[in-house]
Amino acid sequence: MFGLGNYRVRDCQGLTRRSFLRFGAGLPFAAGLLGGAPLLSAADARKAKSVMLIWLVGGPSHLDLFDPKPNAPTEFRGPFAAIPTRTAGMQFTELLPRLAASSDRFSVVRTNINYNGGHRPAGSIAWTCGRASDGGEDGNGKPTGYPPHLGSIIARSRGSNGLPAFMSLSRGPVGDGVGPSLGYGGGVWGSRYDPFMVDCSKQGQVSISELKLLDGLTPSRLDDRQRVLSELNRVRRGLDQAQLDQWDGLHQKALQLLRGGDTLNAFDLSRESASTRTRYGRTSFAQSCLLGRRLVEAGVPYVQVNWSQFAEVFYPFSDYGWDTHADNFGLLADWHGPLLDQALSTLLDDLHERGLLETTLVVCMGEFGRTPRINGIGSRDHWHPCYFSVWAGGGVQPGRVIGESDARGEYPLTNPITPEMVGTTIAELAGVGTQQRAEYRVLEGGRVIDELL
Amino acid sequence: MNFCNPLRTGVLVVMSGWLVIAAQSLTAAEPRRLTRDGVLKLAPLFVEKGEAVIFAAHDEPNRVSLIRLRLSDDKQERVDPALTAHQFDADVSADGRYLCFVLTYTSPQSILVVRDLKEGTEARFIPQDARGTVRGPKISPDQQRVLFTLSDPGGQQIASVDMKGANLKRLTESVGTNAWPAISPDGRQIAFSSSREGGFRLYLMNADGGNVRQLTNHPLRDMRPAWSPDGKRIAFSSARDGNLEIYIIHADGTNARRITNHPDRDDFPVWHPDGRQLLIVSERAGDSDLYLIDVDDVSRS
Repeated sequence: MFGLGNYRVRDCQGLTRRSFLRFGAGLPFAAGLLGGAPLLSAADARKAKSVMLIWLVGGPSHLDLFDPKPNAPTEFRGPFAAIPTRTAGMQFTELLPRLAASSDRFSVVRTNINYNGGHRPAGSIAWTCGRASDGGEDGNGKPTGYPPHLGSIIARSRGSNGLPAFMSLSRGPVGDGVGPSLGYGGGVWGSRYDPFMVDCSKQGQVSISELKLLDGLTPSRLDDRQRVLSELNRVRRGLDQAQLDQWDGLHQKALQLLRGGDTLNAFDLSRESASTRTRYGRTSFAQSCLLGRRLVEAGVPYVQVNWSQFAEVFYPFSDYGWDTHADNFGLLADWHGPLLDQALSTLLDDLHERGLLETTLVVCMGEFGRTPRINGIGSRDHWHPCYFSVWAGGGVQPGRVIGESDARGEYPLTNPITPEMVGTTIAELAGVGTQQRAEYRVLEGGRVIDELL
Repeated sequence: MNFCNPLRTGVLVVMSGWLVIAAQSLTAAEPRRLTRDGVLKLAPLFVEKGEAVIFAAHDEPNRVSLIRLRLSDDKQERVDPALTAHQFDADVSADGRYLCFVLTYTSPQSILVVRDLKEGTEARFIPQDARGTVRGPKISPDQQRVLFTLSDPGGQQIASVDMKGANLKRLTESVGTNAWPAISPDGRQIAFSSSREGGFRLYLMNADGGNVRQLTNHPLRDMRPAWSPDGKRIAFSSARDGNLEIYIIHADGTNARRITNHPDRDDFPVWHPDGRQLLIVSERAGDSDLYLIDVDDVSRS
């Protein structure tokens, strides 16, 4: 089941698909609505046809997941035992047995760094590949010249094949309790390069909250172009001035989605077997990973799957992010560890079994790690000088450990992997080469993480 | 729903002479599934003499709620529909008078709520630190104190307060992480997990925090101890076989036995009041649901 605006469609009832197809075929809109960018080319030599960034909002603990330090002093190492993996010399903690058993599918970087220890600035820095050097979060509003998100860069380069090229799977703009991170969008390139937001519930119910403004857009009224345009105009007349500012973007997105025809099936998780859906896990994050795989199959170049909308775990509004300032070890044992282990290992297995992993770059990380030294209340706080990322598919050589942190997991012993390097590597593998990056004036001076390739 | 005599067929098989096969069958017996919604669940417990279950469920995108499941007709309802914050880790006194649980507050902090359902009053314990948390409260058998894991200045320790949420006592003051306290039915001993020696292992201590002794010693984590109603056995979940399974050990530290054996997670064991079954959260069908396991013959054999 998926929702368009306020309308929910259940495919098994068979009442809507033909209308969508007729509608899609009848519209004269050109491809590449995101800026008129070129269509995908079969001759493209890029290694990653799609990128999936699995974003662990809030900052997951590197010592308690992918970089255990069993020989560190008690005040650092934490309670979770280190277990062997299929990769020689690499251990994970006991919270990740499935990923440990499938570590030959991916490589792990253990020396990521960020430049800021706050959720929103660190997120902005990571997504803009270091260009938002201070995160821009301390000023009033978005600073002039704010750089575009990596997904916007790839979307601009690759264009659309019917679906939006930069898809964001989460309940809303990612950030913390104060607000969303400013770097989650097109920045100086404008709102048309913002991510297309899709919410996927734990039941696999998909809705597109941005289009809820268009209350009149029900499939029963979309059986010809004239009626569609009339409907859109009717809705437009009901908008106030502030809403009119959003009108053009929403209009474009709605029409782009509707002209997608068969590609709309990508949103319909009911087409997956029950065993596949339960294999991922019945959480919003897990079902979003499955939805992400379907979007990759449909040819979407960039999909960001967010663990949660908010960084926080326990705030009354929050949705169990990774910001475990308190009860880190209980939460990771109860909740975060098992759920991540199940969903991520299943995603990688699923992509592999379908022959998609070779052409899909999967990167899993957060904005930073957590303090190696356990804090005064027995938990861990933010730590940006050293943390982890997981890389699979899309040209990455699996089964490698890149970089080494010190004995306490506090700082890199080897060259730090910067946000610029992460972004440059992803862009390069996705086919955004040096020349195009120069034309776009993005990722200048970044270098590829050669050890991954 | 009759859950007082599940797996009686297994017992009959034992009586008819299939002893070995029957024992294996009981160890690996298919648990009885109590829920089928697949919603993520945490920390169940029996209430109302085993006629109902309370558990925490992630039933809304931004909320974990306490749910009461009536076993006679599978009806589910929120324990307190008025609560809008996350609430989890419930316990109820044997006579049903007291309900306690953890409630998120206005920050990362989580607090203890103790309700006297007879008097209609509510007491709260709020950690000192703005990010401090309470987890896993358990009401003592004499209904004088509530025991819990406290993350506050001094680290993560086992502590208790009285039924008014006052007179805090820290029962552990160790290095490492202490968690998941469980009080014996006679109120004299506390089982808990601690990483003071490395990984999470089970320990026992007297009710006043004294005489700490180690109960298990496996490098992979042992957690969530739960006393049997007769006080002779302790069920717990452990990763010692790679993924989380349910085990039972005698209270003297002997005869540890694995009760479940499934590639998916089995966790959060609690005893039925009859002492013959365990309620667990299992992901064996892919979803997170409640299951009943008969353990009587297995653990006594």
